[in-house]
Amino acid sequence: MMNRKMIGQVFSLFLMLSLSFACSNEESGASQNQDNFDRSAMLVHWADDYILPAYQNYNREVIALKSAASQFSSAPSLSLHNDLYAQFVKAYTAWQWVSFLEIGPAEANSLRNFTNIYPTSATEIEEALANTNYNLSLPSTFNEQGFPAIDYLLSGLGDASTTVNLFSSNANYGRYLIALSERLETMSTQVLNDWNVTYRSEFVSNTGSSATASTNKLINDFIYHFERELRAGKVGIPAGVFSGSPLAQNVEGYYSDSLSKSLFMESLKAHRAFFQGSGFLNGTSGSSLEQYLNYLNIENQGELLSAKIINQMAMAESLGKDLPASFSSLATNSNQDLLVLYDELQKAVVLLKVDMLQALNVRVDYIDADGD
Amino acid sequence: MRKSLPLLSALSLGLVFLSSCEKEENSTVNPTPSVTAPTFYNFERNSASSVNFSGQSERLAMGVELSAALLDFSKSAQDLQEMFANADSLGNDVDPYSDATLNASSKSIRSKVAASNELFSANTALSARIKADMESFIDQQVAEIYTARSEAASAGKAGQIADGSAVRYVNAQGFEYNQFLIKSLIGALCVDQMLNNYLSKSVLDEANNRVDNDNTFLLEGTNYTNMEHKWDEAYGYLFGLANDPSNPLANLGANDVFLYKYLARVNGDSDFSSYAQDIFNAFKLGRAAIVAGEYDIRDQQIAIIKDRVSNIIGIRSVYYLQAAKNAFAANQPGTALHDLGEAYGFIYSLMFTQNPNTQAPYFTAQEVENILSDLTSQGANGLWDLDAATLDALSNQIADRFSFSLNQAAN
Repeated sequence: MMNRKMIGQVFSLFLMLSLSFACSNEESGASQNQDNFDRSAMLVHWADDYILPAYQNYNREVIALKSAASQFSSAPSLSLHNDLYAQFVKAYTAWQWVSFLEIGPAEANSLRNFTNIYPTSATEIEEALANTNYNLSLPSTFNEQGFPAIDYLLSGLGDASTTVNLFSSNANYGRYLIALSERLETMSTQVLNDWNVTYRSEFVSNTGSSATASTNKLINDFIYHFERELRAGKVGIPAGVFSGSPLAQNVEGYYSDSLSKSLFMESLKAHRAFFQGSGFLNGTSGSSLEQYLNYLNIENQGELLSAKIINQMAMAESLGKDLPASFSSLATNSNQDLLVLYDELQKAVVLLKVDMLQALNVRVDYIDADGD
Repeated sequence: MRKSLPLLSALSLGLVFLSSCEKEENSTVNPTPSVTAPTFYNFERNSASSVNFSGQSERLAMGVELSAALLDFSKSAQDLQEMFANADSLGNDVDPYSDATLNASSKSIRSKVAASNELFSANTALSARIKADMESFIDQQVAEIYTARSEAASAGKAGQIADGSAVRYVNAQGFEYNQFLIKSLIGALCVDQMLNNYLSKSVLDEANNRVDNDNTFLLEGTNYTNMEHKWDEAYGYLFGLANDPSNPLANLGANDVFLYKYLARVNGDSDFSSYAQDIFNAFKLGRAAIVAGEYDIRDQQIAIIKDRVSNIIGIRSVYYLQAAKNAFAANQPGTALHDLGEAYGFIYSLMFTQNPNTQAPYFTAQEVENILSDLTSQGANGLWDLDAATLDALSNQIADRFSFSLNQAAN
């Protein structure tokens, strides 16, 4: 069961959310009053200093991953396995910076669902290995491809020498590994090209404040990702917040065992960089959500809201830093630490989803619906 | 589309505080009650429970297995039809379920589809057509969808399609037959049996039921009167799969794929957050009234149940039509088609509702047929061809017949 503190927090979140949406019947959902903040400059910064360099970096890493996968598959050895694994970690880490950008070409291609659905299905991967007859463009194959599936092939079959032996004795392993890494590369190249050729200009020129404006959509994508992928996927679900008891096998990078914390930390860093406008990997800084809130002079209990958000993210970062590398063993052995981390992330969600969205007059475009 | 994490009953709690924005409900005022409802749905006689609705729980559990089996591509149409009928095509006994208690049961879903005393005792032709519709959904699921399960769906092409991180399986017109079937059964099985059969006077007060109930004449070999049992059977079609059926408001909606599940959904909308409590209270008080022989109080509770349960069907019809409109606008066709699959079934279910004031369904079978025809035949590609104007028009057509507004249902 959830502890009482958590129930209290969740309760107060919903109370606040509910109050913020009270009487929402009267909102039309059409374009809302716009302030005079220069959204155009912010969109240009997002596109040129964060999104494009982040996609370029990700693309480089998955191209290198594809090449490492085919080298290993053609002549499996411990040393090449080592190289491949190192490149896998680099690409998975680069992914954390682009994961929340589910807009435009990424959204149209369901990039995140095809790249990082976890837990992956060992059963379905084994079936694909056995019958070699797979169509990775089908949505029913979400959970047999992407980084989690590669994680399984590299670290889930046994120790490194067992893995090398399997790849040496059965060509199906190499064939599937190459198919998976090629697919990551193809999707990434497609999204990057679309951004370069057509979508960047569409994105930066859609400066309005309707539900379909670039600012409104990307802010929603950002908060959605913070709430569902960072807070819930990487921490809350393995910690058992939604199921009542910990689900240690549901961490990101489960088979590597020591990746889950570093992927979490990288993702948190990316969210913070985007919010603060510090650019991709501390590249070129520019106009940001932080500046937007400050421009409107939004305070929260006597403090700048932007500062509270940054402090809250920093709080989660400093908590995370001291945790062991494997959230999976943490969920099994010291789950309380994960719950404490979840609580700090939850506080940030409230500041972002309730206070910031209210201040910016942006409506949430995703709902807690159905599940079936 | 973004799908929910299992989010917490705290939601409904939080929303309770929002009543200031609700449209006023016409709450039924009870006269000075001479009957007191218990806290939970527990009724005893001779130190033993007098409540029994095991047959209802069994049918709902059969439905849960059937619902899952519709997407088990190793099944044949015959397998699925046997799960629906709990018999083979010649009427012989079969063991189609994974749960041995269900295999041992003599009950079936099929025999209670469109089978209420009020609507179908003198309209067996319509009843047969409705049963045939359900069987056709099952056959088409296998014929059109199983065969295309490894293709990508598009307008005019059957196959699978992404709905967020979920996968949906549709035919060439975008029909999700498993949704058609299960959601239609909410009306054709649960609502019809509850409102038009067990809560109708023709069943509750049949023959000597009142006199027998007044004299506590128990059915042979049981601990209840016939009227008590009829009432419990109505209760069972809603709450029969609850973790604790005597306290179904805890874990509201758990285990079920039919009405109980969607009571939970509607109750989670701040505009309708009293629904679960209203219905539960009415069932408890009505049952206590039967024990006390206070039939006026019983009948007032019936009116509340009929109103709320019928509204659930109307609300979800409109909710899914609007959700589909929004998903099409966001260029998420897989999500839109899934919403429309749900909408189809809830609209189908409208013909089994009952307006407590007129004692008639909110929509006739013919009206439902017309709406479904509008929904599915806007173009050669069926649901793929729907536009926002049509979805709004259909939403309004349904909402106008009820006391809720389109906006209240939509979010």
